[in-house]
Amino acid sequence: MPENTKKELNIKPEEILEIIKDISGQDVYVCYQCGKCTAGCPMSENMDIMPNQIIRLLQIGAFDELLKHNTIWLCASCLTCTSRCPKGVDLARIMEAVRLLLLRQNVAYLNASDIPEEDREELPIQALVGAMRKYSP
Amino acid sequence: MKRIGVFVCWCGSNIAGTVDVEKVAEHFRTYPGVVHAESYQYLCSEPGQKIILNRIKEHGLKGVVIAACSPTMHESTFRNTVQQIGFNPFQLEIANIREQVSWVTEDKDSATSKAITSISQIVEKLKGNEALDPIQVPVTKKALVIGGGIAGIEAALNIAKAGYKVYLVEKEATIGGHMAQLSETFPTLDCSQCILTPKMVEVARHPNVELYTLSKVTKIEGFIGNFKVTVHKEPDYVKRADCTACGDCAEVCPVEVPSEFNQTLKYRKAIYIPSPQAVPTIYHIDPETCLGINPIKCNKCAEACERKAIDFDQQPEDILIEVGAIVVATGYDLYDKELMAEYGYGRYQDVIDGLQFERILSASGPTEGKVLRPSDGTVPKRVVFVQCCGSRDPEHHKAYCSKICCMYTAKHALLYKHKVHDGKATVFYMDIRANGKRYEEFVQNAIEHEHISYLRGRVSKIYQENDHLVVMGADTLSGKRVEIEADLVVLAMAMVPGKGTMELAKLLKVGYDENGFLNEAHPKLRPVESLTGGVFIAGAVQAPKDIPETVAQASGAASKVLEMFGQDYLWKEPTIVDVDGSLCSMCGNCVLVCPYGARSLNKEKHIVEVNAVLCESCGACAAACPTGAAQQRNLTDKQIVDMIEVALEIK
Amino acid sequence: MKVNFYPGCTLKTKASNLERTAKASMAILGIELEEMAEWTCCGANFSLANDNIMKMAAPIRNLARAEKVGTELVTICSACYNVLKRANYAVKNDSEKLEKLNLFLEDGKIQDNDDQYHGKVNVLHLLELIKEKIGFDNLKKYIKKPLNGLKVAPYYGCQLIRPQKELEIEDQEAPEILHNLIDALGGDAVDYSMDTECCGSYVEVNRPKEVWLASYRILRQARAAGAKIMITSCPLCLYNLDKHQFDIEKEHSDFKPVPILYFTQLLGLALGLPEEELELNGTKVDPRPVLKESGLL
Repeated sequence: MPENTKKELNIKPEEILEIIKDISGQDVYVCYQCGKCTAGCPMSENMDIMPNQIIRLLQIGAFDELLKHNTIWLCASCLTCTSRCPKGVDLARIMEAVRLLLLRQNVAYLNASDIPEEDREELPIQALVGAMRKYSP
Repeated sequence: MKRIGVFVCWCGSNIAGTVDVEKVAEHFRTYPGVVHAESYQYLCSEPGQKIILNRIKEHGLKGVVIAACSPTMHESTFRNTVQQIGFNPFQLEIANIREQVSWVTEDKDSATSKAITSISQIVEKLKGNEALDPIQVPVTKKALVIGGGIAGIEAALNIAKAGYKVYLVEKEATIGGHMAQLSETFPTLDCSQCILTPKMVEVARHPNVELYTLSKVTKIEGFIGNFKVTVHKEPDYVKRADCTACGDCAEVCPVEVPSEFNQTLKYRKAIYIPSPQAVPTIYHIDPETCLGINPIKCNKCAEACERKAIDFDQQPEDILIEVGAIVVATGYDLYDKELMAEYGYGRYQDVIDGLQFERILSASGPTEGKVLRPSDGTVPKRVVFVQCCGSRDPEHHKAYCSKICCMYTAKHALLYKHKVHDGKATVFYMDIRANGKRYEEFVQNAIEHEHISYLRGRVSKIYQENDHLVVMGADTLSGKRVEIEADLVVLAMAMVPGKGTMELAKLLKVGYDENGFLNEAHPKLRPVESLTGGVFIAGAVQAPKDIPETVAQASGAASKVLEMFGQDYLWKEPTIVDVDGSLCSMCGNCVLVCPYGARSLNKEKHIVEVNAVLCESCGACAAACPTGAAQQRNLTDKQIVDMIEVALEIK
Repeated sequence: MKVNFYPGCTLKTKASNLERTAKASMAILGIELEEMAEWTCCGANFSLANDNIMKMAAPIRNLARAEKVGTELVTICSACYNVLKRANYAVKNDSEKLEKLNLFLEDGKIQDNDDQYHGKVNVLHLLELIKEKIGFDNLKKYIKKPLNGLKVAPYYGCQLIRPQKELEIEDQEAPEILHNLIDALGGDAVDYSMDTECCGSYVEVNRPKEVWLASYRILRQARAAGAKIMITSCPLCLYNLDKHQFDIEKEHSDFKPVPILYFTQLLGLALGLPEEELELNGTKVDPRPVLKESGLL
């Protein structure tokens, strides 16, 4: 988590779930914490907390705790979790909603200028455009 | 005008808390036709019922309206009460002001006025009611039990031992069902076959039991107490009296196909006996896999049989039986593991289901009780058990909990450890549901003493890597994703209703739920009856359940049958739908919509005939009748119009 | 036969060999991929936010422009396919959303012919086009240089197949279309368990080490299953899977790099395109030694 995301969020804690529901269309209370999302997540190796725990922290209202972890930024939106969730929870959308909640507060996770020149040359354009859409306001 | 009494129940504060009951009673004191009205705390209590009886006598009441809870609750209570003093029970009606008014209305004024409207409607209906007599139905004191698993065996034995004839119909070649396939049973670890086979033998030998194997019910006519059932029996192609089950025939049979009894883990011949303990203990030919019965293609079995028991000329039979009651006990199947996409669609040989593992553990199974895996016959040193496969997954599979998997998985892991001491058993679970006598203790014992590793999380994917499998799971308690290597994976697949349950339910006109399990008449108070009179249900065909529960339910169903057989006649509600011949145009609509087959067109006599015993008073015909010829007793079109008019305050 | 073709940004830059080999191969099969006029970037990934209607504007504008030409739009890049097809699905199933987007298109007209989208375009992946218009059996007739049983690992990744409900191209847990293509070309499609696992996608931009790990899982399984070569339809998958292989080799001595190609390069090879037209020099792991070894070059 870069330093700049730690600044105070201008959102009341009780509004967070509502906003997430508006953005994602997902109700976190549908999740019964089976962990199947975590079990199949290809990016979980270096996540500080597991994907199911993201929902868990939302369920118990611990949004600040959630922000301490890198999980949402390691999510590759591959939809493996979404496609297998037994409760039909689209976790990829919840991940996106949490990212957007921050990005819309003008908190950038990554700026274009952070990407080294040589990578910019080498990376396929779809990676650059995609990353900017996921990581910057 | 009929002299009507209105009684308003408080139901403690259930009704009186929201409805001004005294105001309601006051309203009816001046209502046309009502000669008495009062309110009382609990009308269903002994003193409450006495008040009703007294008022009937005092005021010479000819009609009674009880404004209280739903008629499904206490209509029969009150009707039985008034009958004691010779009051016709069909002159008593219930106005539901609890479920339909007080419980669903917050504002006291609107609740009170809504209660008044409801009661007014029932008063208007009652004005048109006639005194009716219940319909008398004779009882054939013989029972049909469909399904020869533990539920069917238990129910059949109970009824037979009470002295009544039972026809036991089983679609397979042997009775015993899935229980006969199991190794040992939780939580006592009794050998399943050891406790089951004596019952199988007992039921087959019982003089009151007539057993039909390889048989199916194909037609059911009639009604409670008087069913006419057609049983279609496929031939054994072996003379029962002559077969000694020596097995010489199977020895020479050239056909090998996967054995159903061994869950495809072993081969059987085209002429075979499902298991050595099969009842009846005879060989039979599977015509689907035999090289040819008509014309005979191979004949090796017939040549080998010293007693000349093989009979290729046997033909299927349709047997007509008459019974008064039917017990449906057709059991369950496991949800197909080939539907589990992320667990490999059933294409990995060493990913098996719970019943397959039962066969592997069973002393009479394909490996004679040695734990060997299907792919290469080696002893699996790492076994992963996955619970909730297909269960508790409303998005892709079944929403319900299959109830028995927590227990049998613990048993599987325990038995595995008993047989492979240096083996590693891992269980993926979501919750451990061990709520039965000594169940929790059983699971805890397995974990404590056998060091079975319980990981709390679902499995996302299983894949093959070289000679082993990899199980991608999670342990949500430690917040870790895990990948576990396994030599064998056992999937605790969901329980689903046995194949053909739905077709049978349609034949029986018995309801089933969204998962295909048969519906009980009441989830709490009538768990072994169906809503179709004379049809009872037992075992896993109603919902997933274990052996003790199945046996208890089977005994319950049998006792319901016996309750019926204890009477010479049955009584049935007379509120059937009659036909006014002068109005009937013989259009046949009512015959078409009747779900019970109670109506028929008699073209010669130019009338619609109504079988009063079959009619369930649903009213579909009355609604479909274009001329008003079909009128339900005590719910005529006029009564309905009166009720509507009073509700709309246009009367 | 001409089909309307949406190339997308990556095929015009980094993955130009994907476009060229696709066009050349399809020409042999009698299909001309005619680049649609005035296309714009699709946005590279489909927004997973309900309220992010603005991010649908680019794909829907492209579909509105395609609709003027016909009812089919063919694309090759998995990401473009995913974005265009999902946006199309979204508006086809939500008339209010479509109306809003049409108002926006009308308002912010960039081109004279940008006006309305009517939901009539069907987005097709080139693989679907081959399957439906030519057929894998029929494709065999055009093969000049069969792959001689070359063991090829098909790699689907995410964007080509998920979500299944919207894309409907394949079973997301057991896709077959690349397998079928490989087999039709005379190769041997290897079954391995990671063909639908994610390579790490755009996370590469920021956390390459995580992508490295994700790629390793995939490559290792493909190798273990005997693959000599891999194919994909996604430029980002190709980049991620290719890029880290020598690093992986350094850490895991038992790992041997697997060259990865676009499916169109393998198709072109089997159809007899000359080596220089196959542009086999775009990846770190050179595929040519394996192809030579197998007598294909």
